[in-house]
Amino acid sequence: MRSLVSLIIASFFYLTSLAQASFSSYDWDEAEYSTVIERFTDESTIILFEKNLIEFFYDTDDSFREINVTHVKAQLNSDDAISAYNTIYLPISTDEKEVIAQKTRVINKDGSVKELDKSAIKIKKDEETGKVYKYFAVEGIEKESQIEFFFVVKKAANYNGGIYQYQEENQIQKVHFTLQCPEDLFFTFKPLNNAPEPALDSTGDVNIYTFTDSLITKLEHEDFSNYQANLKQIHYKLDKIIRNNRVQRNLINYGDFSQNFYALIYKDISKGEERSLKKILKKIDIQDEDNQREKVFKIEDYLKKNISINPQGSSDISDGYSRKIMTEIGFIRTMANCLKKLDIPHEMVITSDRTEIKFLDDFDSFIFLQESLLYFPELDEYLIPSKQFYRLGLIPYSFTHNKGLFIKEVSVAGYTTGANEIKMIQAPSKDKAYSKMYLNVSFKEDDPSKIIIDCKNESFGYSAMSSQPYFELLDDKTTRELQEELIKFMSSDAEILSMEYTNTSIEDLGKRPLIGVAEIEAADLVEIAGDKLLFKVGDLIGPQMEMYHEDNRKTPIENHYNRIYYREITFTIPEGYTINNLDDIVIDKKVIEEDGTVSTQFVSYYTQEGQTVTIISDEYYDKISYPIEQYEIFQEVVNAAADFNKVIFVLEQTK
Amino acid sequence: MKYILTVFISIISYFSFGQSPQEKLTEYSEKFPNEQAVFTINNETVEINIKKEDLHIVSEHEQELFLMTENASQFNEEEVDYSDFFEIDNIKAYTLRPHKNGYKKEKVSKIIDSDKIRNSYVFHDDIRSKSFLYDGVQKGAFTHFEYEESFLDPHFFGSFSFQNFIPVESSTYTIYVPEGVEIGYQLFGPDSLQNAISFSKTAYNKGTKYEWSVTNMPKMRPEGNAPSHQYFSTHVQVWIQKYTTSSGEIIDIYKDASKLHSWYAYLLQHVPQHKSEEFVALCDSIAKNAPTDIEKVKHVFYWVQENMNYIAFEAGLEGFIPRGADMIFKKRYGDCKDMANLIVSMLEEMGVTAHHTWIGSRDIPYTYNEVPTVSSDNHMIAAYITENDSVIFLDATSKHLPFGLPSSFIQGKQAMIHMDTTFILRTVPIISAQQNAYIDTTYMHITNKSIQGVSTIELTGYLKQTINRRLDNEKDKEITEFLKKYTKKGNNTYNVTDFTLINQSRKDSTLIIHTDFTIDNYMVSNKNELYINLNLDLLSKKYDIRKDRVYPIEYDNTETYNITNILKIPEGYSVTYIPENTEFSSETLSYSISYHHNKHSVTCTLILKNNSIFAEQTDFETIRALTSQLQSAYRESIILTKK
Repeated sequence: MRSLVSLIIASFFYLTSLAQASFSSYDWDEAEYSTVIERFTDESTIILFEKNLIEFFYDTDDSFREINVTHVKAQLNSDDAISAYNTIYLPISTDEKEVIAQKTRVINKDGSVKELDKSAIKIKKDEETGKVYKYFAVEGIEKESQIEFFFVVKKAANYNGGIYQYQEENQIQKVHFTLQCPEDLFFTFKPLNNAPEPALDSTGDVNIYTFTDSLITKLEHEDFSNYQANLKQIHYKLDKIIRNNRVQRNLINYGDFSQNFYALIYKDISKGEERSLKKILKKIDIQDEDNQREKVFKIEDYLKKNISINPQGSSDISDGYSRKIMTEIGFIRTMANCLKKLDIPHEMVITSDRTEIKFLDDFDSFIFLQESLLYFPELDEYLIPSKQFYRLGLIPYSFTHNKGLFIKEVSVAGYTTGANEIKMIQAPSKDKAYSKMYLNVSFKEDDPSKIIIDCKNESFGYSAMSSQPYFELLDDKTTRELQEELIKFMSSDAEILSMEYTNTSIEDLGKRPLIGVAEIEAADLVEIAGDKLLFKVGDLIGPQMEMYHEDNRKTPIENHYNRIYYREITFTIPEGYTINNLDDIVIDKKVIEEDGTVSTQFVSYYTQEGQTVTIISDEYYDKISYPIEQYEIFQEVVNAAADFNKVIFVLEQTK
Repeated sequence: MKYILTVFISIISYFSFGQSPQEKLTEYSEKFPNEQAVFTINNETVEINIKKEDLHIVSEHEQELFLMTENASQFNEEEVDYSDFFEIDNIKAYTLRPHKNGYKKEKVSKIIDSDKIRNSYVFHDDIRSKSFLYDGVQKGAFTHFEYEESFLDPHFFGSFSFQNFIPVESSTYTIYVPEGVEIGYQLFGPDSLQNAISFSKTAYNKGTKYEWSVTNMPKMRPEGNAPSHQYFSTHVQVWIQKYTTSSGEIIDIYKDASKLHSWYAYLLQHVPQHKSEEFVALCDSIAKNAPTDIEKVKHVFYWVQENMNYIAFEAGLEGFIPRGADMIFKKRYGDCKDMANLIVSMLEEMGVTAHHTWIGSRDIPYTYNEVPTVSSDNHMIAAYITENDSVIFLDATSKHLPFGLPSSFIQGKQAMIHMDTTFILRTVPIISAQQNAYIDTTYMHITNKSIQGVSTIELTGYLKQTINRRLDNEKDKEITEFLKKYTKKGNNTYNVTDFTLINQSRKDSTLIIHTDFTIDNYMVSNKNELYINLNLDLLSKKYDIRKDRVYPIEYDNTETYNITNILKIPEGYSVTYIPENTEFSSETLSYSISYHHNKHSVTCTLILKNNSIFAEQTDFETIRALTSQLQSAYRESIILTKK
């Protein structure tokens, strides 16, 4: 794809003037101590301005390159602010990218200026990757100093999809953005979160797109929110070439990419690779009676356990299998071709991490093509090749509830290739991630201020992710510690009298819930007030998130994944006691959609038969995104769980 | 930095042990159940030779790892670090992977020699690494790794650890010491494990061979809040005392603290002494406002602490020789030795004597008496000796540390104080619990279903320092969020509605925090009664210790919590029940909870004190008894009844 466009560009290049890139000689103005606007003055760090300049040009060796200038000026008012800027790390250099110029200076309130001496720059090279790291310490910074620096990077042109995210945790007074390119090239932009649309000046012999933005309020981290995806930002890419009245449009598109990617994965499998694939399939031992899901799982499990992914590995299936080390693409090729050999229908999916960059369906850009997944249409399930501790049906939640590029095999006149479609990667429903607790509480006969809890905890899917895949890697003692932590969330000084876990293998992930059955003695769940007992029944569900004091919400709600929390608590009121405030446990908070369905709720209630009380708490989140307008009702559900956590039953002795 | 790329052609050769791979796997799985891997060999053989005027010290390392897990790929990366004082050569590495009834040898195909790029608190260093991947690792395979390490400077030789974080089946450390060379050594670790090591001194053709050998060393398991593993790992520290050159000259390296000091004093001679006009002007301006010597010391200490930012450079001897005071003052940054030297130089300019002082942080378990080498320290500070011979330790790397207090991570450590041609050793005191106090007086009243209150919290010592660092230049919103967690009472509805900070910038004064707060859903009402648990501060689990804990616990500092919660009795109510007072006292931990009331209010006072910075296993039982009793006391509520 890249070479195709370069061909187009290059074939016309002899008509253009071989101008030296103008930004390569970028320099700053005379130093001055800038003014901070009044409402920013008591901030720890103030970004006075940030300039991001991109210039696309034809280099002397016929390559299409890019000059990128980053120029920042900040005032530092505290020790932490100084620490953050006292050491500067220049962009990493590689074969394709180098820092061709940089300057740094410190301007003090009294007007004195100290500019960095080049001899202060330290250099380290990582021989494994070829990356060169340049970094230096900045001299002479005091409180209220202003630090100003710029660097100029020359690299291969990134014209098939870039992004500029410019809001951050500090207040910014001004942002300048410029994109400059040869006059026959035109870029297109997609601003998000109220970033401005750049204006084009095509009057000169280059095209210049610019925008400025002022007084950019810092964005603070909020719960249930994707910080990076909510920043002010702008996507950009090359759109068209206009030359001699001929227009080539839509230069960056997924169609070409998909065909090339398809070829990379499935075509040109060598004889050696064929032999290795056969060997692998033989080792995996697929049975005829295995259903499709079992077959896929076996392939994934075998490959992930036996081959490690490393940039130093091999992309060749045969060599990589022998070494047991492959590159990521080698690993994907191996997995995809194993599936193909068994005729298991599947599609490649490439997408982005929605917490950082949301995949847009109206702006084809390579910036979204971050991670590869495999999709099985007959199973309606995904797997992620690159992550060792995930299995079929479970992929990191940040790739779900996000669109993706699906590449499916098609045959046209005997020629097979990949056809693409943008589709939604649905977030699994709440039934795929649950935590269910069944607790039977008994008050000790001789001392009802002490309770014994028989509990059974089931966790499934995402809710078991932090433990289920890892037990096999841990020794006995560590396993026991981890399992105890999972049980002791309700009472950290609980004594575990017995404990047994089942389904503790990674093979159970996404298939069978992790089940822990335990008997616990908990002293601190019953408190004493004179001759009354205070049963802290709410503590049995463990500490909860609270959003009690969070108003002034700035960003929409976004959950990680849909999930259920279900609790069933049964206890018998001890002989000679009564409880008068069972109603305190009745809570009902819901988010009701337009069609009447309940997308999120916390509902708890009780039933009583004689002295036996059963409490049900039915909490779930079945919708990932909520707009800001629904923040309050969402907040109420979250706080309802926190309220349940505080319920205390009073046990009074009956006269 | 030279780039060395070594390529081995992958030679596959057939290798056989007595047992089949399957038998081997079974044997080891039984001997080391549930382990991921075991070191079958972990040896080092050191050869020392005198070559003309120099000492050549070369150590041959040999390690073999047996992999018993299905997730064997986690062991396929290997790396050995080195720096300007060391050389790594002759790396031989291969995998033995099970093949029919024997093993196939797969040599490592590529070794990369590179600068080491890593995130660490050291900004710039000279660390490089040689790294590679083992091919063909799988369950039942062995990885084998040999290399030669040369010690280019005898000051940095040597040590050996008999234990690791995976079990070690067999471990031998051998040193060939020729005539003319004298070594010193000291073994460390739990007695039972030290006793398992067999040690021998035998003759070989050139001199004496020292050998330590042991089998089946248990693995170390990290536990939270444990001191650094050097405290409890079984290891030996070795050093060169002296050697005689071919020409008959005797070169001293180490013997005792004074030899180490001689070397340090020699290195200090290389520190540039130039002082610029601006430097002198700064010193003058500080001295002007500080009439006495001790005030000069205090002002200089605070100036360096407030105006210098910590950045560590540790390349070669740069890690041992401070840079000139003038240069550091201009840069406004430096590391511990730069700041120490700056303090000494500034005071010298003002006519006051302060001393360079070497010290190990609490991560290092040795004293200079036990291990008289560079292994006993990793930090430099300054020291001022008062008229009555007491020492004020000056560690400007620790932000917001009040003058007079040593930094918390050197408490209890032995300091080597430079006195020109000689030195003195002094132990840094452990600051008492009374000096690190959190004193809270809170007044509360009940409104509807909530509790509203105002607290005055006084912080001293390290508790004050920690909070000052945290609050440094934070804005109101962040401070509120922080105080919600730090001063939390009752439950998570606790909200700080207003606050004031007093003495934030006055280093020598008590830090005072005033908060206005509310707590909801905390009281329990039942007919005409109210139950309120006045143990509002979440301290009962602070000193919990797991039942199966093995390693000691290290605390940052001693501390006292003295909290008085006073609740106004609401109109129309009276107190009908208050819990009994309880207390528990021991050398390490103690607490008391006491209640009293009058017709206006009920008061609950908690005093919780931790007197030590180190809890050994022998202390655990007492600590557990205390926390158990404290947790019982925390379950009690008062009862208010409507009249």
